[in-house]
Amino acid sequence: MKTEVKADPKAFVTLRFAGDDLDPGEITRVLAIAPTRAHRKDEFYFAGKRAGLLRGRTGIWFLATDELVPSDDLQEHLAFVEGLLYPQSGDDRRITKLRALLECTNSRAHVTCFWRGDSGEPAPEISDGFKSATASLSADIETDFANKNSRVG
Amino acid sequence: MAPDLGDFLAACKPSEFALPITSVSSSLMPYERTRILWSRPGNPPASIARTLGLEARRFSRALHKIKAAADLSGTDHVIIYTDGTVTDEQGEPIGNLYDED
Repeated sequence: MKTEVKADPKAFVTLRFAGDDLDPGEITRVLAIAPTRAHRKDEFYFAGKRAGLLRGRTGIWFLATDELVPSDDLQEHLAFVEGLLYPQSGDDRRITKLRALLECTNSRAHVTCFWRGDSGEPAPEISDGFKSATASLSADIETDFANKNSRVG
Repeated sequence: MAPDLGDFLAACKPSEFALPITSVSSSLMPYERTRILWSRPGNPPASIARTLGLEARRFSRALHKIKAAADLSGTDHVIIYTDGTVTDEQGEPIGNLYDED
């Protein structure tokens, strides 16, 4: 079944693992999902019709949920990422494998949260549950929240 | 040995070389000349999105993804060009805003 993806979602989350010695294929094997983009350091990758082939500045495994979760609700995007890390409640085998991979390649985990609200709409919150789920990877969580008519980048 | 074009060039008036500008098809141009639209850390103002002809949310979503995929944070300095190219602070291309539609 094909997931119906919103053309212009107001919220999504990205998960990335980055490091000069990272082999993104190892991350794919652990998380069992195709990344949005993945390459080793100095490897050329296709970045789009206009950008063409670009050289990887570092090793990257990158996933954006906007093409996977058909929702404007940031919580659903966070839940999707949490489900990748913990496919079953209490099952931390993926986390254990990821920590080992990150340690031996001196790589880091990062989460970013994107949200654009209407004027006056309150910004979503990152739940404590999600924070603790990613804390075991020492992942930083960056928020890019703004309301309509504020700066857009 | 280089050919001697002296007589040929002397016999031609400049107007015989020049094409009227209206006759030059844009498709014949080798590349679009670009210029820098934005070169600062942080989030660009809405005017940058408008200049590129992109809706504000689409623009900010594209820039967020390009920076994250290049292992840059939101506060990192990027350069945005009129053709949609985004480079890092050193000028190395990391994506194009029009590719993220």
